[in-house]
Amino acid sequence: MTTSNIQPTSDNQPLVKVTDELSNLIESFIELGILVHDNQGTNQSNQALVNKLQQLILLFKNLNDPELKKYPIPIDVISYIEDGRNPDIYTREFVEVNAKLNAKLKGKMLGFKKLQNILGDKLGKEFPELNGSIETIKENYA
Amino acid sequence: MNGNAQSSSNKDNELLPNIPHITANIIPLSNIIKFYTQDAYKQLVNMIENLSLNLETESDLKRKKYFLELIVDLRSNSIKLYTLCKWSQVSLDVSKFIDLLNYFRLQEFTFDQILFQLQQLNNYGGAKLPNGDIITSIEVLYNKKPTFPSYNYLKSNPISTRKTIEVLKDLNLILVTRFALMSEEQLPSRFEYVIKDGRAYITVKNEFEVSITIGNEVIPEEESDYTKSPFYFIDFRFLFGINPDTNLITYKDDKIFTKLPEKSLSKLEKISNQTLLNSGLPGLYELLHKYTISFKLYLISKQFKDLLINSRWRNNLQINYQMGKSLIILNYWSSFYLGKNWKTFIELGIDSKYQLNYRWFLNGKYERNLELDEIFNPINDTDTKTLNVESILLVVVNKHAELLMSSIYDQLTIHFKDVELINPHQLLLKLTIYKSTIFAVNPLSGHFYFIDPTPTQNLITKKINSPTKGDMIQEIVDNLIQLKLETLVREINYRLFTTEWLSNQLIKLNESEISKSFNLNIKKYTINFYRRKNYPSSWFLITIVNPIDSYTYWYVARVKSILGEWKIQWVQQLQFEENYIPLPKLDFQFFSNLPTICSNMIIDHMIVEELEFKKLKFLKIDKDHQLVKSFESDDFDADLIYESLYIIYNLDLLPIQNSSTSLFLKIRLLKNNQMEVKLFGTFNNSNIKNIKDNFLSIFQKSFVIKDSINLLNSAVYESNKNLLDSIFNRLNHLKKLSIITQQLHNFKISITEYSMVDISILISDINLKIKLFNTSIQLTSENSNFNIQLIIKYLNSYLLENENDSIIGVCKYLSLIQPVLTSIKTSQELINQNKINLSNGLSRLNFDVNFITINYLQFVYNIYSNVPNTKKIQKDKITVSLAFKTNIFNDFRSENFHYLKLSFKDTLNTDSTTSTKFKKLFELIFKSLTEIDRNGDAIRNENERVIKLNFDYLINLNLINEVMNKITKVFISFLNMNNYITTPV
Repeated sequence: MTTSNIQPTSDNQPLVKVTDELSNLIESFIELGILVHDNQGTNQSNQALVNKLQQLILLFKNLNDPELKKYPIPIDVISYIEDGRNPDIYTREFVEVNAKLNAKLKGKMLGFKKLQNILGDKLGKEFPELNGSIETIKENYA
Repeated sequence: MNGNAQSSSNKDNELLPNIPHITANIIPLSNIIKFYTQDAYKQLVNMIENLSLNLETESDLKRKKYFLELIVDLRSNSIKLYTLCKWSQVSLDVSKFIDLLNYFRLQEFTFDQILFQLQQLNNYGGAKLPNGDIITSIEVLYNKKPTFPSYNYLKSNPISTRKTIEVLKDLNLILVTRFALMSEEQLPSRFEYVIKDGRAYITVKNEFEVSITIGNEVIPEEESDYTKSPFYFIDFRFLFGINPDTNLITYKDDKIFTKLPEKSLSKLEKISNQTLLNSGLPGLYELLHKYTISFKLYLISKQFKDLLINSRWRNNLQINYQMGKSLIILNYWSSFYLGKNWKTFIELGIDSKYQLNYRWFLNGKYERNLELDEIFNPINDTDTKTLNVESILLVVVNKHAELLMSSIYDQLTIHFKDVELINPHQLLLKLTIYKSTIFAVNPLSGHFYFIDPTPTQNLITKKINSPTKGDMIQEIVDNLIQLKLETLVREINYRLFTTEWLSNQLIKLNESEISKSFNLNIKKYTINFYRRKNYPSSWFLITIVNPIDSYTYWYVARVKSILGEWKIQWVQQLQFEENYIPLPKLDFQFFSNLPTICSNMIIDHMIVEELEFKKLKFLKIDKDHQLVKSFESDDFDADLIYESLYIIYNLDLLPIQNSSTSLFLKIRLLKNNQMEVKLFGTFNNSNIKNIKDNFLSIFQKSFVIKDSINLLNSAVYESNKNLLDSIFNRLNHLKKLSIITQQLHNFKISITEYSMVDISILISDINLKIKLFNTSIQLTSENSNFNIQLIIKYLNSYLLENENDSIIGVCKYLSLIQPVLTSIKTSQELINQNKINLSNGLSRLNFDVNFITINYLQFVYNIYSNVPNTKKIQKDKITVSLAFKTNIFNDFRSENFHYLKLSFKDTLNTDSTTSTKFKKLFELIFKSLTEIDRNGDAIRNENERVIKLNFDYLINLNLINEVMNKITKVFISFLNMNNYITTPV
C-alpha cells in the first residue's frame, strides 16, 4: 500500500533506496526553501544556499538507478497521482475487473462445453457416420 | 482462470503459449525519475540564470518569491514521485493483471465469434434439390427420347418449287380477299397496292413502297379478330433519292429510289411488325410516312450542309438540324447581324398534317410566301420533280431583301422625292443636285452596299451593316439621311472653301441658342460656320443644312463667346432672289455672289447699329420708295451691287424750318469694294443757297452729303461705329450753318461770306469770321486792334464754356462795346495830341485800358510827376471802371435797356493818398459830368442821361464817347493847370 512504508524484501532493494532518497529530496526542498526565504545576501547564507543546491543536484543524480527499469508504470497511474487520487484505488479496481471477467468467462466456457456435448450428441444421432469425427473433436477440445 | 483452465494447463503446460504481454501506455519507473530529475535540474538552472539577470530590475523579495514558487512546485512534484515509487512495489503484479485482462477480452471476443458462426448456420435454409422434370419425363415415357432444339445442325428436307408456288398462290388469294374486305378506315387512302408474289406491294406516291404479307389463312371477320392474323412486314424502300446526275433530291416516276441498309431494314421490320400487330395498316402508314419525311429532311439537311461547305452561301448560312428531330432551322444571312441572333430564319419540318412544310420566321413572326408554297406543295405536279434546296433559299433571301428594300424605299419617300427603286434590290438615291448613288442589298449575305462608293458612303455602309438596337429600317433610313446630309455639307464646304471661305470648327452653339436664333422646325441639321479673311472677328456666315429636304439655310451672324459660351448677338437670314427661296441653287453664281451678299449684310447691320448708337430714329425702306423719287438721283451705276435706304427722322438733325421731318440715308455698295453713303433731304434756307464741295451740295431746296468708304480697309470693320461719322459731322455743320445764318439774318447782321466751315460777318465795322466746329463755334477777326482781339478771346472762351451755338448774344455784345471802343480810341487820340512832357521828355499823362472781364473794364490814367529836388518820378494811377448794367424796367429791346456804370471807386475808395492829392481833379471831373447831363441847361432826353450815384455814374451807351472825351480833357486841362504844382500833403 502506498500509504504504508515499503517492507524491504530481496527484490525491492532499489525501490527502497529510491524512496529513501526521495524523502531526503523532499526534506532538502524544504530546507532550500527556508534558505531562500531567509537569505540576507551575506556570503555565508549564499554559500549555504550553494551547498544546498549542490546537495540537491547530487540527490537528483543518485535518483537515477537503472535497476528501476523493471517497474512498469501504466500511464493511468500517473494520471491518478497527477489528479491527486490514490493509485491504490486503481489497483483495487483492476483486481476487481479481472475477477469479474474471469468468472464470466468461466461461465461461458462451461456453457459452451455443454453446447458442444449436446450438439455432438445430436449430430451423432442424425448423421451417425460423423460420430468418429465428433468424438475426435470432443477429445481434442475437452 | 481457475477451474477448468487450470486443470488443462497442468496437462498442456508446454503446448500453451504465454499470454501476450502488454507494453503500450506503460513507462518504466526509471524513465519517469529521469524525466523528473532532468526537468527539475533544468528548471533550477533556468531560475538561477533568470535571477542573475533580473538582479537590477526586480526587487529581492520578488526574486525570492519566484525561487520559492519554483521550489514549492518541484517539491510537490517530488512528493508525487515519492507516491509513485511507493506504488511501484505492486506495479509488477498490476502489469500481470493488465496482461490477464487483455487476454480475457480476447477470449470473450472468441466466444462471441462462436455465437456468430452458429447463427450463420441458419442461412442454409434455402438449400434444396429441384423438382423432377415431369414434361421431359412424359416425353421420354411416350417417345422413348426427349426432344431438344437442334439449332439447325440437323438438315431438313428442301421445300419443293411446286409447294412454294402453291403457298404463294394461296397467299395471293388470301391477301386479295383480305384487302377487298378491308373497310376505308382500315386501309389508308393514300395506299396504292398490288398483290403478287405472295405479298402486297403498297406504294405511297413520292414517298415509299412497302411490301407486307400474312402469316396464316385466317381472314378476320371482326375487327377485333385482326390480331389472330396480323400482317407482316417484308420489304421497304423510299420512292425518291439523290439523283446522281444533279445531286438533288428527285422524285421520278418511282424510278429513283433508296433502299435501306440491312441493319436499318431489320430494325424497321421489328418496329413495323409491332405496329402492324397493334394498329394495323393505318398505323403502318403513319409510321412509314413519318419515317419518310424524316428521311427527306435528312436529305435536305445534307444538301444544305453541302451548300455550307463549298458554295457562294459559305459563311452566310447556318443550319441547325439534329438527327432524329424533324426540324431543320436555316439561318440565312448569318454573317449579317440580323441573322446572328437567329432573328430571321426558315424552319423546314413537318406540319400538323405530317406533311413536309416550312415556316418563315421574319422579324419576329411567321410569314407565308406563295413561291415557297409552290415548292412545298406540288399539288398538280406529277412529273419528274426535283427539290432544290438552293432554290428555296434563293426565294427566301430574295423575298427578304425585296421586303427590306421596299420598306426602306417607303420610309425614304416620306422624306425625299428624289428616290427611285431601280429594281427590288437597288435604290437610286439623289444626294445633291449633281450627285446620286445606288444603294443596294446583297441577297446572298443580307449586307447593304453602295455601288461605286465614296469614302463617306463606305463609312455609312459600315454603320448600316453593324447591329442596331432599334428598328433596323429606321436606322438605315437615318443613315441614308445622314449620308445625304454629309454629302451636301461636304459639297457646300468644298465650294465655300474654293471661294475663299474659312471654316470655323471652334464655335459650338447650344440647342437653346440655335432654336432661339434660327427659328427652325427641323429636328436634324448640320450647322457650320465660315468667315472670310478680311471679316471682322465676330462675323460669320452660318449654313444650316436640313438633311430631310436638303434645304440649306444661310445666315449672317455675329457670334461672340461670352463667359465661355457662344452667343449669337445678331443674325439675319440671307435673302436671295425670288427663285432662290428657300433653297438657293448651289451653283457657281451663288457662291461667287455669296461674299458680297454677306459683306453687304454686315455693313448694313453695322450702319443700323451705328444709327442706333447715334440714337436716331430710323426705318429701313424700300430703295425705290416714292418718298425719295422727288430727289434727283445721279446714282445710276453699273457697278452697283447692293443698295439700301433708310429714312431717318429729323428730330434734331437740321432745323425743321429749313428742312423736312425726314432725311434719307442711302447705302450703296459698288463692285470695287467701295461703299457709298449718301445722306440727303430737303433743305430750304434763303441765306444758304449754294454750297458745293466734294462732299456736300445744296441746290434746288435739297441737300446731299456724300461719303465713300473703302471696304477692303479692314479698319472699317474693326473700329466701331464710325462709318457715318464724317457724314453726320457734315450734317451737323450744315445744321450749325443753317442755325447761325438764320440767327444772323434775324438779327440783321449782314453776312459777307459763308461756307461749310465759316461765316464772315460785319458788325459795327468789325470783320468777324465765325468758325464752325463739331461742338462749338469760334470767332476770329483780322482786325489788328488789340482790344478787339482781347474781346474775341474772351468771347471764344465764353462760347467754348457754354457750348452755345447762339451767336446773337455775341453780336449784341459786340455792338454794345462798340461805343466804348470808340471812346477808347478818341481818348487815346486826345492824349496824344495834347502831350505834356516831364523834364526828362516823358509824357506826364499815360492812358491805358484794362479788360478785366468782358463786362468789366478799366480806363487807367497814369499821372507822372517829378518829385521836387530829386530825379525821382512819382506815378499816380487814377482808374475809371466801366461795367454794363441793365435797366430791368425798360424793354430789353429798347436802347435804354443797357447802361454803362462808370465808377471811380477803384481810386477813391482804395487809394486815399491819391484821392486827396487829386481832389481838385475829381472835382473837375464830377463838374464836367454834371455839365454833360445838363447839356448847358437844356433838358436831355431819356436816351442821353448821366445819372449820378454815390461815386458812380450810370451813362447811356451813346453818351459814353462824349463822357470819356470830357474826362480825358479834364485830365489834360488839370495837368496843364497844375503844371509842376502838387497839392501839399
